[in-house]
Amino acid sequence: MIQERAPVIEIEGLHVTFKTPLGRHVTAVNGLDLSVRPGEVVGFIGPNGAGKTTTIKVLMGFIQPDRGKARLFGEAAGSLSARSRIGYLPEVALYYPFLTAREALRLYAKVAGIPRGQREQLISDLIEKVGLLGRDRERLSGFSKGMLQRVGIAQAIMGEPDLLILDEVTSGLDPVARHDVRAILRNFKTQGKTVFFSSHELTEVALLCDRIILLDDGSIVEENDLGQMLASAKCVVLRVRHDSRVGDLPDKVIARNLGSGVHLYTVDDWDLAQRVREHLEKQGAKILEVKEAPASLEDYFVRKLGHKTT
Amino acid sequence: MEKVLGIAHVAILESFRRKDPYVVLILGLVIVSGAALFNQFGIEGLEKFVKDVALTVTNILCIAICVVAAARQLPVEINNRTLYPLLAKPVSRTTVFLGKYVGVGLMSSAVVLLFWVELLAIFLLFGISAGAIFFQALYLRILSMWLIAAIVVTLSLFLTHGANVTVSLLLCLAMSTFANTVLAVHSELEGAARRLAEAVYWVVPHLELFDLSKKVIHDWPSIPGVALAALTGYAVIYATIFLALGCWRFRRTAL
Repeated sequence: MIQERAPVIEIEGLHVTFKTPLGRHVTAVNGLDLSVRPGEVVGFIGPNGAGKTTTIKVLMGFIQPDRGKARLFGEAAGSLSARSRIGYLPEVALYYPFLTAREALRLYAKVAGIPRGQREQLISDLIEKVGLLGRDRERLSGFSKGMLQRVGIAQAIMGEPDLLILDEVTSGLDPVARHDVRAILRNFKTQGKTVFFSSHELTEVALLCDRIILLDDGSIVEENDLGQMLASAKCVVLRVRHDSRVGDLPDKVIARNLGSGVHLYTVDDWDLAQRVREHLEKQGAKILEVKEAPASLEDYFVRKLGHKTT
Repeated sequence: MEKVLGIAHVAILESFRRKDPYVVLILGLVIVSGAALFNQFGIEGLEKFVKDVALTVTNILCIAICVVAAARQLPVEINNRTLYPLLAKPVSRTTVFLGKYVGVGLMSSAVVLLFWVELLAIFLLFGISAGAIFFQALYLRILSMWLIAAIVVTLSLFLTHGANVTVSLLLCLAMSTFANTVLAVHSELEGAARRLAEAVYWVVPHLELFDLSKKVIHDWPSIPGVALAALTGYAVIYATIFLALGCWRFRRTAL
């Protein structure tokens, strides 16, 4: 019997390797251990090729690991009983272009085993929830990427699963749709459901997650509550006014244009801040303010893995 | 079963919304009607020619549409990743595989049925007879579609899409003619070649058994029900073997 607070997701010593067309073995996941408790919203982030999607594929049973274990609700990952409690949104999926949104959702409802008498009402509710009202009888071939993502979200939350596994949930969505998705996920969270999602949209992750798992080269680089992670990561920001280019800055400087000639430069520490300040002043820039500030998740990510191509 | 039929329904919808069957039906109608026009010249024996052309064209087009549809099912789903949200639901890969197979089988059967209706209408219009053997030929043609669909859907998990279509069409041609060729050359073969020919003869499904075209052309009486039952059993056994192999392979395929 599964205990009440038993982990929803348990991964132990997971290894996944792929064979390239040239016969070379590439390690996608390298001894990964992680655990997600019920009711948590966990962000799974990392650069491209870090192993996020591969890990999620193992959880869904799409690929088998070379070594290690992956369990969902205490059941083997990919088992029918585990999948009956999961909603999943893949990173990139083309939904059947020859079906209408309603027909596609009907198919997913059938295979999910939702009783015939409840299907149509459930589908109508989902269509309204994801903002597809009035478009549900149109073929998916005419849908934009954002509209398809809404169909994806509708099928993922169908039947109110206990766990949502989302791969790049807000990919391709416009700001309004992102807001809607956030509301849906928050609603899930308030119901005590568990959400495990990967994303490159770090603002999204910071807004939604209780805990962050930072992955690189198939292993966990850091795993912490968002607040603790960012509290340990102060940065120095320089508010500067200049109208022309200021030449090359060190790689570790994150620059943002705030408009009206005002720029914000974020660096890791005071030493680098001093070097950047001197460089900018030589270029004729006017330093408006230099101060220590809490790092954003994006700053933190770049600082941790900035050497990687993302 | 509802899950299998749900997936099958999508496979059928895809084929009909892509309009493949309609194109083939119209093409068949043009060819068969063209041939039937010759019957109006009143030349004795031309009726057999019309039937021959009609059944040959129909058989080729039915096999082509079945092969193309069956070869497309799983590779396209894997390539487009439409399988991911489907397999994320509590549905086994065996169910998905069988759903695809049933979809292709039903779609191909519908196409054969439409062709046969088309043929019957043309035959009646041009005063060409079609006895009970015509309907037995229809049944066996539909049966052969289910067998071909099982082979092609399974091969789609071993070969690329293009290779599968080519190999499957060649296989259908070979399976339809191979038995007669082996019978003709059997006495000429010796040693390993003879044993190989015999082995292949017994292993490869004989599609020629499901083709009653010649009997329809020459107005034969209907064949015994026991023969139809035996052929049904034969098709079921072969289809089951291929489907079992396909399911085994699909369950082990990394997506």
